[in-house]
Amino acid sequence: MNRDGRWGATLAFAGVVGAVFLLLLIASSPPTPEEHLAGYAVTMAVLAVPCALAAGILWRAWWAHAGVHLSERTGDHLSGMDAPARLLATAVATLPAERRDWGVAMTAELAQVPDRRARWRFAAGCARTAVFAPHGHQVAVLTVASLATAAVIVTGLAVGFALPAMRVFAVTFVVLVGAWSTVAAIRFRRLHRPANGPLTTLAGLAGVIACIAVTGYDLGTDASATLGSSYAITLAVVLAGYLWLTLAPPQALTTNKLARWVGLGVALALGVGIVQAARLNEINGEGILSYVLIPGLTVFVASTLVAAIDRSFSGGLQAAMWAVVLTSLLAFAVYMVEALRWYHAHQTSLLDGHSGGGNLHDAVLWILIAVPVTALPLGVIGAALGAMVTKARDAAEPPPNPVAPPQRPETGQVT
Amino acid sequence: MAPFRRPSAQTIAVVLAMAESPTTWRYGYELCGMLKVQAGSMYPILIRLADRGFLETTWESDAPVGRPPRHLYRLTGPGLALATHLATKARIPVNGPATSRIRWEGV
Repeated sequence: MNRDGRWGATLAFAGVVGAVFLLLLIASSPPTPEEHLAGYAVTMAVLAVPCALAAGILWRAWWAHAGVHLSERTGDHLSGMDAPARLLATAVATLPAERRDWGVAMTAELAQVPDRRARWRFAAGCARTAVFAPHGHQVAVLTVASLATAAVIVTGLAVGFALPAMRVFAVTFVVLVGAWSTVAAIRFRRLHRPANGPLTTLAGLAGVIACIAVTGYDLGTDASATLGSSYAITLAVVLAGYLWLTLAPPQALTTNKLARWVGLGVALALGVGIVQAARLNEINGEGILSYVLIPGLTVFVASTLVAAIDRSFSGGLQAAMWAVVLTSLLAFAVYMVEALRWYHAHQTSLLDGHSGGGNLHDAVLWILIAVPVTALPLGVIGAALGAMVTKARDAAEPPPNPVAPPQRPETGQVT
Repeated sequence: MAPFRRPSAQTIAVVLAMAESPTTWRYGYELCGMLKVQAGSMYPILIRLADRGFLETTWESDAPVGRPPRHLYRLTGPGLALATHLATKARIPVNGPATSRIRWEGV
């Protein structure tokens, strides 16, 4: 694909993602009858721009990454990469370590297939093999699947008996974790230690446990607290996803230690910030809704800095991802604790100061959904900006002279 | 031990094709062309055969410059025994004696 084609594909992808995001925004927040339609449309379009821009950046990064991945294996040049080769490179990247040789084998074979149609067919077949690689450990898979099924049944019965309001969440969460464990058992022959470092793993695990604990505490102690089915399923999906990222992150998220540390630091700072904002709310009591904007800006700054320091887009992207994951978990737990304290003291919502509880729904909507949706696109843009600034600075500097000029003898040393 | 499972027709075809010239190293795309089997079926078969010790694998050592080395395959001793068994079995009735069946782990 030539340069114009690549830009066209990028714009098309960004446009589609932006349009989908715009539709979701409109569906979640339709215009009120008294609202000016033109102003509403402009606001929604502006809100969708970061998401579309981030999608375009990620598309470009993926395209380049797949090309590099392939060129490392085949020794071919990036300019010669076509779409089937990139498809296969992307699929091969998902193979577990013990199957990597087969990925290299299939990639090497694709390099010998001349006809374009045959290349597509061959690449698609190999990609399917890479994603659904065969396994020879059926006993382990059956054991894990049986345990997961038993866990779902026991959870449904136990939570249904002890805390019925939490049943939908608990069953959905265990179903997702069970399905993920079974897929992991199919793909991997042995357990692997998470590659994202012990501190990030512990922080993520603690965050998931804390979120479940505060949810259970709220539903168990406050008779007026509810967790509707759609919120329960959303909470379960997000927490299961974060648990997966914590315990089995993709390799691309585990290569930068600085990014993980910065992500953890951002999460801690924003968690403390929520406590501080909640305590300062005692002064005016208007709620802390405006604080939801802070994580996006913080993640943007953090990813820009990491990308600039590490001189890589990947470093900034990893910082953004870890910051968003850990911030969401920590902020949810901290917000719930503070919101419950506030509600018991004032009988109003900590979020906007209005009467009524709904703390769990507020936390799911404004922390678990709004924070990633606003912060992640800004983090991607920040990572691209940091990498771009570094690249421009490097280009402006004169290249080091590989051959040192012959030194002139200093005056008085000539003999 | 996993229960007995009859190998697929494509697996049998791959094993018998490789047994025709047991010392020759074959590569994946070549086998796809020889047997008219798609890559999406061929590679899972090769992976399973290699996992169970019926295939040995190596990398092409004399690949021309500019071309990545190929992954090559040929039958091992047990692989040849399996091929012999499958070839024999193809000539006996399907409901033949159970003792003639080889233990086959899900290929």
